[in-house]
Amino acid sequence: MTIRIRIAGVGSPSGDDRLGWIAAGGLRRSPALSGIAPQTLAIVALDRPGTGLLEDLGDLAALIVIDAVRTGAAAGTLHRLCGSELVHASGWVSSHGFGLAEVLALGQVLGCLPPQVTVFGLEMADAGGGVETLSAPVAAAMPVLIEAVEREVLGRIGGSVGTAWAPCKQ
Amino acid sequence: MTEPRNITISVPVLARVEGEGALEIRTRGREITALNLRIFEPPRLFEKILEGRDFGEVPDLVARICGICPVAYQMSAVHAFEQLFGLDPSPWVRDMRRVLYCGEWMQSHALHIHMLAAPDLLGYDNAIAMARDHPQIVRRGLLLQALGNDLIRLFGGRSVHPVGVHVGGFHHAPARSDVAELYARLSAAIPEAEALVRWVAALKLPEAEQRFVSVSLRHPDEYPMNAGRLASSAGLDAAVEEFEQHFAEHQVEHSTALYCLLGGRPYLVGPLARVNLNLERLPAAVRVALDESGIVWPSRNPFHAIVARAAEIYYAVLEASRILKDYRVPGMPGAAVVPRAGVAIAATEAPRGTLWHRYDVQEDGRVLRARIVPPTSQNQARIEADLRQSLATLGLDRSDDELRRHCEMVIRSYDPCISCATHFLDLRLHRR
Repeated sequence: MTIRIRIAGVGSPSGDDRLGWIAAGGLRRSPALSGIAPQTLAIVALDRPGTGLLEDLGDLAALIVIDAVRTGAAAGTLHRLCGSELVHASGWVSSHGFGLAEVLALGQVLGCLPPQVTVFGLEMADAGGGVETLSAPVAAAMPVLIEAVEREVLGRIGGSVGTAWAPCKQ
Repeated sequence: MTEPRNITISVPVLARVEGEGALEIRTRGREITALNLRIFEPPRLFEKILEGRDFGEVPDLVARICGICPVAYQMSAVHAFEQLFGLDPSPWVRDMRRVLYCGEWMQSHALHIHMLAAPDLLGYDNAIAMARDHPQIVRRGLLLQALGNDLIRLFGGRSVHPVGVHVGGFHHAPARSDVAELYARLSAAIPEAEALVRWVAALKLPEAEQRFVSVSLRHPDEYPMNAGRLASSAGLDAAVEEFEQHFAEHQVEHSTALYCLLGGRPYLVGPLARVNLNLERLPAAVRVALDESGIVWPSRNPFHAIVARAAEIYYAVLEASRILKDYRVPGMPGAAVVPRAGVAIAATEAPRGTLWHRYDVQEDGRVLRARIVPPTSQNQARIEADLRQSLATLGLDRSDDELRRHCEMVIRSYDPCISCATHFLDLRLHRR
């Protein structure tokens, strides 16, 4: 059975806010995901979560969102949220105006979200005035983020690779 | 007579506007003694950042001023330099810049109508609550917004801080297949945009007849975007180079954004001002939709801005589709320019109104000084004037909650972009 999964890296050019884009790029080059047919897995870089995230979700089985977050944890800390955690995540502020939590809540109300939605949030250090590079702690955590998303995708596709996390209960 | 009392109301953040600021109102009995729109976002200092930069860097730098209207900043910048360097852009470049601007109007206006303004008018706390009862309306808004973003992405590579524009033209021309796909989506969106105007016009908008001066560009035969002269409903007709002779900015203690006045008085820029001044430049279909709204145009009700905004979405969909219908890939998507010393000036119509740029340029093309007058600082004094009139009409004997809600609705109807003007609502109401 074909499982359609979309990975959306959300970001902007500034500093650590671009980590969603960098992760999307890294996942496109990932040897672990290279054998997966494009109709099964799509990786997109989005520049704001608002509309782009809710487009063409029609027959997706799973949506994986990667974004920079600020929760007060140490820079480079990886968060993974799914299911009901997302609905209650409004205090969990994304780096974009109409926050990710609001967009997902809107998607849920409009009934256009796929059955499985997972958000990987990497704690940012700095939205960096004019800097177009990642901070050291975020750059150092990038391989961990990429590997976590790889495991998520492979776990969803067939359980051929074990996942450290249990699938979301939704 | 209201009993003398001191009340302070505090709303930590005004939701659903771009940026941060506050409103402070002092009243004595039934009289407003002070009304200050306080914009306290730190100054952005963008004009200083531009000093010493090569003109070629400016379009990408100024795009960073705003995440919602980067195209406007790029368009005012490139037109300013091209005017100084004596470059007349090719018809293809001119057309595609118009399409790019249509994209920005569509996404910015659709965002404002559906996510920011409509929940107010329908009595919801936010767009998510509104979407539960009006899912089709919100879906249509998202569709139009996405279409606008995709038009920007077509030319700019991405919809936030796009990078496809340079002084002289574009870095690349989109492929015919990509344009054909967007043209098909634009054509399909025409009835949706028309229906949006009807839906917005049917909303119960507050009655408010106010005296104000509308200002926008006017072009001999186009609805204004990238070219035209400065015009006002009070008879101003000036070249954009003459802006400083008529418009003056000043600083006030309570705001980090500058106030801009025309002949010493507040004025309005934006969709309502543009429609008021350019009705005859709109195509027949948009005119019919506006006439069928039941509103007498030009309108003196600031709340009619949302109808003007919807009409401009309809116009942008029609205009982009008209231009892209017979799209051809050009030999060159842009021309090289040779800099020269002088003063570069241009104004274009950002989604929120006239955006004026001036660059003093030295011989090698580096910027000596920059001056950027964004729409929100031009509307700031008008918003305060509107609030005074609105509150007087509503009556100061209303409850604090009611007054605050009405103030927020008035402010939001201007779609202020505080992040552009520097940045919004903590309401402090002092009654005596």
